[in-house]
Amino acid sequence: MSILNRKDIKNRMCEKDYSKKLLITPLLSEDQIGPASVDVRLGSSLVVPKKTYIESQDVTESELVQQVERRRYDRIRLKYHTKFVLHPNTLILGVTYEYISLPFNTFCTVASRSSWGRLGLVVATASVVQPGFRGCLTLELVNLSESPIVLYPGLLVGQLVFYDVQAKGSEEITYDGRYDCPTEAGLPQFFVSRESKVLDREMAFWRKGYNYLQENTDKKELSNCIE
Amino acid sequence: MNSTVDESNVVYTKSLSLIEKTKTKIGQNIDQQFFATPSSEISLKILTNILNEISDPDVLKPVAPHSLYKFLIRLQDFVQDIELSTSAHIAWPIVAYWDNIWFSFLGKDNVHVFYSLTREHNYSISQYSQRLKLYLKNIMCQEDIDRIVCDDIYCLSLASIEDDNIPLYANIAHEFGHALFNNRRLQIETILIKHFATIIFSISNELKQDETVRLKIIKRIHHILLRLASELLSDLIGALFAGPAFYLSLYEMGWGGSKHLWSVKLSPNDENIRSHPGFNFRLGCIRNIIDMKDFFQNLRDEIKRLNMEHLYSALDFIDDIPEGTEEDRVKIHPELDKESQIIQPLLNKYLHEIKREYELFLKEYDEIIRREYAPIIEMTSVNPHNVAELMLRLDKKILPNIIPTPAEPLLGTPARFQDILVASSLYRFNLLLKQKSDSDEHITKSAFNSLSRVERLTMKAIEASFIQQNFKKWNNEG
Repeated sequence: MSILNRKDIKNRMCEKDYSKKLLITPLLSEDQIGPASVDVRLGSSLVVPKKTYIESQDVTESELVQQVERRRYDRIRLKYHTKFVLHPNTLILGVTYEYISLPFNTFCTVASRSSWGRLGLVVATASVVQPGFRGCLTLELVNLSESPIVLYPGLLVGQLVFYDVQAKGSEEITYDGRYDCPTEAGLPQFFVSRESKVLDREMAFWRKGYNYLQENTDKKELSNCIE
Repeated sequence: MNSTVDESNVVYTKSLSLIEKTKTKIGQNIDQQFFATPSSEISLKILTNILNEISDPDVLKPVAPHSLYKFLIRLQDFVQDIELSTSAHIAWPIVAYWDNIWFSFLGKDNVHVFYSLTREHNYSISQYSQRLKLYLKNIMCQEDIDRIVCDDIYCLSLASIEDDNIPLYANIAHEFGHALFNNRRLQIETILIKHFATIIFSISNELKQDETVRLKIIKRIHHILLRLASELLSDLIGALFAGPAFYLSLYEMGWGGSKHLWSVKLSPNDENIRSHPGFNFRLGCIRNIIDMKDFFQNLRDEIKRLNMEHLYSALDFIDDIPEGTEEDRVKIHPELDKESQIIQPLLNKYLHEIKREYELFLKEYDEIIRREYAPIIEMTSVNPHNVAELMLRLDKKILPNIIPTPAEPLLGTPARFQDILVASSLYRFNLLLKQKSDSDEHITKSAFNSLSRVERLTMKAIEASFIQQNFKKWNNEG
């Protein structure tokens, strides 16, 4: 696996066949393409967690996760030229202004641009994007500094680094993940079912095991009391 | 023990409290930063000025407490319209585009519009400032009203049930047509009288009632014809400004009802009569205005060039949309209104002639609009080449925001709003047809997933393209 340089990136972006094309759209300026990365902008959609009274976030409890979503988050669509203040030690979800489409032979990671990093702004913690993914990337924006940071939609905050996937048979790699062409900052989707994937069932298994253990403990304690 | 109840005092105190409550509600619930368009600010300022003015004891003194109370209750609807005009409810990239069109169309006459929501499955436009003025008459003198409500403001309500259904936003152009109709009512009435004089004369001759009743009925028929003309003229504006996307959105709005029914709803106040022509007649008129046949033939050629013949199905379907009007009939409500029994058979008898005159009226007004608003029509024209390229992108699950150009292989040319809207409308129909033929047991879920994907890609494309065009303009100027 090798990192793509500017020339490689441009070549893949100029491919005419959409299934082979590396697509980052719209680029407002060619200057966004660096020596071995592409800078991306903050989009207008934000998800802002709010202080709430829910007990905890147990992602294995599917019904509860969906119920408390509204209590835990505000969705905001900022207009451009409008500021958003990110306070210290706060996490919000943002989204790239650009829409990405990765061909089967390209893998990508997202990172903060270094200037923002020095201010204490982290833009992505889950930074891996699989080949075949299509959509805008959700950014996990965290202010690790001691002072509030002002953000505006359109600012260049992140950078994408692309890797060549050279393994044989990579033509058959297709992304069939939970996130189907997202265009807004997206909440985690632990319970979107996927064919040929077992993660969702696995979550239920771990949860069920915990319940089973509790139920038996209670019964045992109860029978002790009766005796 | 005797007590004298002074209801006026009670109502007066309650009204004063309601003034403060409304002020607090505005302050707490409406965040101006999130208004979808600037016109909401103008409307909010007017409401705030009214509340400040009626808080003044000097202004309040002569007002009957019951009138004040009634006004304040009505005012809550006006506040709610503004509350719903923020970007939490309204997609600003879409209304930003339409707002530019509005400015070129009517904005120069200092007529404003803001966008809100209605729970009805319909789009509507109301004369916000005119309605306010009407209600204010009971509590203020005309001089004060004109001083406070000095702007002409419309409120355009979008159907909240379909707030994610982007292609239906083409209906906004139709609503602009109603505003034009209001602004030019005298001119339009003059043209209509010329077209309908013979028909009105014939109908008048058939009425055997005494003179007073006869005149009243004729006046009502005049209003019915005027309202029908308002709908058809608005369709003309919809067709000229949103092209085939408007045709498809109107076709979709007609689902669930009879396509042949010309509906009329009478009202004791003739100005409030509502009437709508049959959907098939309306669709036929639009086809004549925008030359759909030519557009679709060019689009077919472009789709073939891109080897995307499977996208023909939407075009075939649209070609086959029935537009026969032979079974058209007029239905008048409420049936209890005794004049409905007289007017309904007369309008049905002359419906063929009425339709012919409306077609001529539209032809005449089409020329007027094309002449007066040529730059807007040029700006909103749809390009089949671009539409095909954008449909291809949608089919590949890619944002329909760029037209590939050899000169700019990396940046491309930002797609225009109207091309995105038409491509999205057509591609969406393709999906609706595909879902029908699928035997997937999870058809409801897959239909939802594929339709919502097109809707979010369309919405994002409109935003991306809008910003890209503004950025390009700023960059070129700088």
